[in-house]
Amino acid sequence: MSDMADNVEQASRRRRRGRGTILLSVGLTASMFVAACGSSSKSSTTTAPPTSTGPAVSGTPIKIGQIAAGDVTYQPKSSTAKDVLDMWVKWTNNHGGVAGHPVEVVSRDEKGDPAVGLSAAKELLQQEKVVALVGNNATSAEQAIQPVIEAAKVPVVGGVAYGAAYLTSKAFYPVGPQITTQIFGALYAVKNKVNVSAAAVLICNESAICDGAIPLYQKFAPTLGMTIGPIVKAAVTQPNYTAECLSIKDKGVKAIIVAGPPLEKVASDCKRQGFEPRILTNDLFGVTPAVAKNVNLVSIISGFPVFQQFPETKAFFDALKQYHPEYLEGGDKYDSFVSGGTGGSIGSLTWAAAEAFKKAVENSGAAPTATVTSADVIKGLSMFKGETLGGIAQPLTYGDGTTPQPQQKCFFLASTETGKITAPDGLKPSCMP
Amino acid sequence: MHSLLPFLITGITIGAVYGLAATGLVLTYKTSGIFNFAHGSVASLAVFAFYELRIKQGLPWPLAAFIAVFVLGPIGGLLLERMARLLADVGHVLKITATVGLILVVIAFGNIYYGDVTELFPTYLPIKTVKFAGVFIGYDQIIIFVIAVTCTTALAIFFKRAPLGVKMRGVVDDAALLSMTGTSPARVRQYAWMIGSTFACLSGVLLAPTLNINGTVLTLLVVQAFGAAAIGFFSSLPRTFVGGLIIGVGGALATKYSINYSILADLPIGLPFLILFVVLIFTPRSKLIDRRFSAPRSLTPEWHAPNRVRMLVGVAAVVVLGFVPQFASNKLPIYTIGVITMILFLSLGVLVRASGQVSLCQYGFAAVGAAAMAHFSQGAHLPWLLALVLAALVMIPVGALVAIPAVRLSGVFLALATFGFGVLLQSVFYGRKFMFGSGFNGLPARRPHMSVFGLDLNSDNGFYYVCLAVAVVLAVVVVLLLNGRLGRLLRALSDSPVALETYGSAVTVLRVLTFCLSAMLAGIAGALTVSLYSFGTGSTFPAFNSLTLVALITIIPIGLPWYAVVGAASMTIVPSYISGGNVTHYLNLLFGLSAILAPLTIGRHKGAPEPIRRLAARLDQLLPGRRMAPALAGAGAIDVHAATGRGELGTDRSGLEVHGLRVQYGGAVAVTSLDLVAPRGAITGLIGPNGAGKTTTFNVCSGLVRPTAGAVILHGNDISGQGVATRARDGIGRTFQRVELFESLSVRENIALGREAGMAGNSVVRQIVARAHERRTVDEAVTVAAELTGITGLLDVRARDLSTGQRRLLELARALAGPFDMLLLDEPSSGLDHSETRRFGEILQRAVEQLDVGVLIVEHDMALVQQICNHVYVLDFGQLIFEGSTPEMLASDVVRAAYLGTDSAALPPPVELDDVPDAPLTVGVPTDG
Repeated sequence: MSDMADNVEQASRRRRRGRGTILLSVGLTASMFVAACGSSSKSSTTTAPPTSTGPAVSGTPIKIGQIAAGDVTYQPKSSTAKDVLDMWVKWTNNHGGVAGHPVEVVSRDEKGDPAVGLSAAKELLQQEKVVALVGNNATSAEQAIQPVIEAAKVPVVGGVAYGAAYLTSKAFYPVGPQITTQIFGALYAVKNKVNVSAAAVLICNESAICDGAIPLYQKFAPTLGMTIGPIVKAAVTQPNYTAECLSIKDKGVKAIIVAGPPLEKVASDCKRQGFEPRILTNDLFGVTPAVAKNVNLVSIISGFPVFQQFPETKAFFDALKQYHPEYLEGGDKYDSFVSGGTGGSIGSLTWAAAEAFKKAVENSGAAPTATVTSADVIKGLSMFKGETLGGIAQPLTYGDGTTPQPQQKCFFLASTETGKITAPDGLKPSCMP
Repeated sequence: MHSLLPFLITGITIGAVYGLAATGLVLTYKTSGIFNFAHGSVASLAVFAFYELRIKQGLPWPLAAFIAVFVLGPIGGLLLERMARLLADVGHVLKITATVGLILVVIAFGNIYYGDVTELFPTYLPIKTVKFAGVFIGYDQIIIFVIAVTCTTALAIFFKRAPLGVKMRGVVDDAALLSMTGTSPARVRQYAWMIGSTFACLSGVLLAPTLNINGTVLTLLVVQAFGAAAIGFFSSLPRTFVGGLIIGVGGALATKYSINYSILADLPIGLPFLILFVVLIFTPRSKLIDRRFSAPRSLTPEWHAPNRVRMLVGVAAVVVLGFVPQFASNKLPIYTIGVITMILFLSLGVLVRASGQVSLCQYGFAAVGAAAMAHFSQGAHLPWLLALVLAALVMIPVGALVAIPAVRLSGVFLALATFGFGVLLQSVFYGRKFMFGSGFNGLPARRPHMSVFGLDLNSDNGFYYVCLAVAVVLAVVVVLLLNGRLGRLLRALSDSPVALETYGSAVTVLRVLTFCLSAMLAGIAGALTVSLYSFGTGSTFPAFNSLTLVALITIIPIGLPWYAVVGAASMTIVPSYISGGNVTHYLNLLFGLSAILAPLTIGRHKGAPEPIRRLAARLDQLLPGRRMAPALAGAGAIDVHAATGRGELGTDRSGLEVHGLRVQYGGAVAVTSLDLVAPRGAITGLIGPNGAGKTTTFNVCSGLVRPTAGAVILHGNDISGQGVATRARDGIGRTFQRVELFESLSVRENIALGREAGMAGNSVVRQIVARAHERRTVDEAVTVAAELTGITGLLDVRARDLSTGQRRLLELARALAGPFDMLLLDEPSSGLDHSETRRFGEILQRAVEQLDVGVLIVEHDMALVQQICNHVYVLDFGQLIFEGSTPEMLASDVVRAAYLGTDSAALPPPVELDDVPDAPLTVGVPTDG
C-alpha cells in the first residue's frame, strides 16, 4: 500500500521536476532573447569618419581604443567616457582629423571586472590593433592590464588617472594630476582657499585607495604648514554621518576633506548639529548644482571645468551642443556629468586625453599618408614639456617612455562660494612646489 | 556624559529603524520557520516603488509613501507567505537559497530599472531641528523614532493580547493543534507575513532619504538589522527592538571613540556584523531554536555514472578545456577566471552539496587566500608554487576560526554566522594593510616565472594551463575524498547528524574538517585570481558574490564535479559572449528566480536527467573490460565475534547501569530517583505510559541529555561525563522512537555506517581515510547484520524507499553492525503489524544470543515484552513503580493501575499470552477509569 503511494508521489514529483526543467530552459532562452534584443546600446562602437563639413580628411585612418567602466555592479551606470570620446572623434574628423588622418575608436566596457578588462585590452591590442588607448576610465582593470600594455608597447593616454598605474607604469600617461597630486591639492586648497591650517579627513573604507591615501595626507600636510586630524573612516553607505560630524566638531576643526562618503549628506548632517565646516573634495564628487546651492565647498578638479565655459574650451562645449546636449547645463544628464561616477571630471579628462593624443601625433611629424604607429605616439608624447594643449590642460610633462611618468604637479580648482559651481582661478592651474 | 548625549541620540534614531526592520524579520521567522535573508530586499522594493511614485509619477509624498508601505507591504507579504509555504517541507539549504535568490532578483531588478539613478533620495519629512539638552535633533529623526517605537510596541502588545496575535504564537508552537480550534494556520501565517513585510517596507521608506536608490545598499543596511535579531535570540520582539537600539548606539559611540584610537577606525562600520557573529557564537544552543525542523532533503545526487564512464567524461572534459586557448583568443582571461571559479564552486560543494552546510562567505575565504598569496609570492619573494601551498595552509586556521564556533549552529544560523563573517571581512578587513596592503590599487602579485615543456607559465596561455591543472587536480582530490569515507560520513551528516553522532563519529570534528577543506579550496581560488591579475584588492572579492554562488550551486541538477563546470560557465563565460547592456543583471535575475523555484524542481535529485543516465549506462556497456560488481563476503565463513569486534570491548558482564537518575526541565521533573541495570546477554524492558520518562532515560544514557543528578555506568565505568560519540565508541548503540535513518543512502550504506562511524571517531585522519583492513571489517559486519535481520535482499534499496517494517529492521541491523555491546532500542516495533513484531522479537533474541549484547528496550507492545524480556522496569510520571520479571509485571496491580486507571475492581483480568488476538495488543494512553 505504502509502496503504491510512494510510486504516485515519485511520479508526480518527476512530472513537477520535468515541468520545472522546462520552465528553467524557457526562462533561460527567453532572457537571452531579451538581453540580446532588448538592449539598444552595444558596448562597442566603431565610429567611421562621417561626411565632413570641414576640410577633407583623407589620410590613413588611425584606430584608437578605450576601456571604460560603464555598467559596474553596485554603482550607477555611466556612459560619459564613451560618449565624450565618440563625440571627440566625430568633431575631430569634421575639423581636419588628427594631423590629416581620420580617427576611429573602439570602445569596451570593463564592467568593474578585471577579467573583462583584460579581455578587452587583449581584443583592442591584438585584434583591433589600436595604436593607443585613449580616455580610459578603468580603475578596476588597470593593474591587471598593465603587463599586457607594457608588453605591447602601446601607450595609454589619460582618462581618469586615480590609479597606481599612472604612477608606476611607463606606458600610462596621465593627462592631469595623479592621485598623489590630488591629495596634495586638497590640502593646498584648504590652506590657500579656505585659509585654515587644520583639516579633518573623512575617508571611505571600502577599498585600498581609502587606506592608501591616509599616509599621504599625513606626509604632505607638514610641507604646507598644516595639521591633519582627526582622520575618520566612514562607509559610503551609512544612513547618516552625525556621529562623525560631532566627533570632528568636538575637536574644534573647521575644515573637512571628504573623500568617499557622499558630500551632500555629510554637509547636511553636520549642519543639523550647528556645524558648518568648509568642505574639501576631489573632482566635485557628489556635488550637483543643487548641492552647490547649499554647501560652501572647494574642490580640486583633475580636468578643465565642465560647468563654466572659457574661450579655450569652446570646441568642447560646441561639440557637446552638437552631439550630446543632455550633458549641458539644463540637460537631463547635466547633474551626473558634473558630479557623478568617479568624479565630475570624466568628461573633461576624456576630451583632454584625446586632445593630448592628437597633439602627440602632430608632434611626431607623421605625414597624412604614413601609417601612424604606437612608437610615433610615444615619441610625440615625449615632447610634452609643460604642454597645456591650448590652455585646456595643466602643464603636462612626460618622459621618453622607458620610465614611469613624472608627477604632474598641477590641478584646477572649483568652488561653490557663490552658490553655483565656479572656477575661481579660471583655467589658471595651481601647482605643487 | 554630556558629550555622549548627542551620540546616544543619533544612535537611537538609526537604531530604532534597525529595530523596526529586525522586528518584522523575527516575526516572520517565528511564525514560518523561514529566515528571510531578503528582508532588506523587500525594503528595497518599497523604496523603488516610493521613488517611482513620488519622483517619476509626481504623486504627493504621503500618498506615495502610503502605497509603498500599506499596499505593497501586505501584497508582498502574501507573496512571501506563498513562497514560504512552498519551502515548508524542504531542507534548510533550499530555504536559505530561496531567500538568497530573492535578494538576487531584487538587486537585478534595481540595476535594470534604476541603475543609472545617481541622486540621493530626496528628503520628505521636515528637517528642521530642535535643540534638546545641547543636542540638535531633527524633526524627521523624532518622527522616525516615534513611528518605530509605536509600531514595535503595538506589535508586541498585539502578539500578547489580541486574538490573532495569540493565534500567531499558537502557530509557532503547534500548528496542527491550532488548526483543531478552527483557525487556519495558513491564514494566521499570511497575516504574520503581511505584518512583517509591511514593517520591512516601512523601514525602507523611513531609511530611504539617507541612501541611494540602490537595491544592494538597502539590502546590506537591513543586514545590519540581523544583528538586532540575534540579540533578540530570533524570538523575542521587544528584545529585538532593543537590539536594534544597541547596534545604533554602539555604532555611534564607536565612532566617537575611534577618533582617539585609530586602531578602532573600522569598528563602527563592522560593528553590526561583529555583533551578529559574536551573539550567534556565544548564545546557548537551547536559545537558538531551529524552528520547524524538518527532515532535510539531501542535495547529494543519488546516482553516479559508473566509474569508468565518469573517468571517460572527465578525460574528455579536460581535453576540451585544454583546447580553449586555441579558440578563446582575447577571451582567455575570462576562461581562466572560469576555471578558477570552478574551484570556488567545488569549495562550496563540499559544504553545501556533500554535507548540507551552507556557507555564505566563500568569497571572503578567497580574499584571505588571495591576500596571503600576494604577500608570500611578491612580498616575501617565495617561489610561486611554495607561495600557493602556504596560502592554502593559511586557510586552515581561518576555516577553523569560522567553523569551530559556528559548528554548533545548524541550518540557517550557520548560514547567518558565515554571512556576517563575510561582510565583516569586507567592511573591516579588506581595507587593512595586513590584508591588501596600503598601495593604491592593492597588493602586487605575480604568476610563476618559469617554463614547463617550453610553455612560459607567466604568459596568458601558460597561466591558463596552470589554473586548469590546479583545478583538475583539486577536482580529482575532491571526487576521491567524497567517494571515500569522508563522503560517506558527510552524506550521513546531512541526513541525520544525531544518528551519526550516536554511532560514534564526532560530528564536530567532521564539520570543522569540512569547513577547513572548503576554506582551503576557496583560498586557492583567490590565490590564483590575484596571480592572474598581478594584483590583489578587496573589490575583486565582494561578499555579495557569495550569494550568487550559493544560489547557483543548488539549482544545477547534476553531480560532482560537473556542477562546478556548469556553475562557473554560467557565471563567467556565458555573460561574456552575450553583448548588450544589462546582461549580467538579466542573468542574475534568472539565477535568482531559479533559486526561488528550486524546491519545485529539485525533487528527489536523482543526479542527472533521465536521458543522461541512459546515455551513461549505454556508454558503460560499450566500454571494454569487466564491470565491477560489489563484492559480498560469504556469510558462513565469518567469525561473528571478530567481524563485529565485540570481543575487544572487555568481558565485564555488568552491562549498563543507571544510579539515582534525576532529570528536571525547569519546573517539570521528567525522571526521578531511577536505578536500573541492563546486563549483557539479556533483554531488559523499560515500559510505562506515554510521558513516563522512558525516552528521556534513553537520551541520558546515550548522552543526548544532561541529567540533573545521577550517574550512568557502562561495564563498571562511569561514563556520565562522556559525550555522545565517545559513549558510542565505548559500546552504547541506540535506535530512535522516530527512526533516524540516513534516508538518501542505501540499506547497505546505512548498515555500513553503523560500523564505520565509530572507526572515524574523533580523529581527523580517520574521518578521511579508512585503514586497509577496516573496509573488510565493515563489509563483514554488514553481511552479518543483514543476515540476522533478514534484509539481505534489500541491500541496494534506498532507505527512504523502504516500508515501515523494513525501516525498523534496517535501524536494528545498523545497530547490530556497530561495535556495541549495549543496545538501547526505543519502541522498535512501533508501526509493525503482529507478525512483523513477532519476527522482530525472534531476530532480537537471536542477535542477543549470537552477538552477546545486552538490550534495553522501550516498548508498548506487551506481547513483544512478554516474548523477549527477561526483566522489566516500569516507569510512571518519571518514577520507578515496579521492577521484576515479565509475568510478575503483568500480574502487578500497581502496573495495571498505572496503565488503566486506579479503580482496580473494574479492571479486566490479566492478559494471558495464548489469548492474544491477531491484532496487536498495545497498551497506550491511559484512560480515565
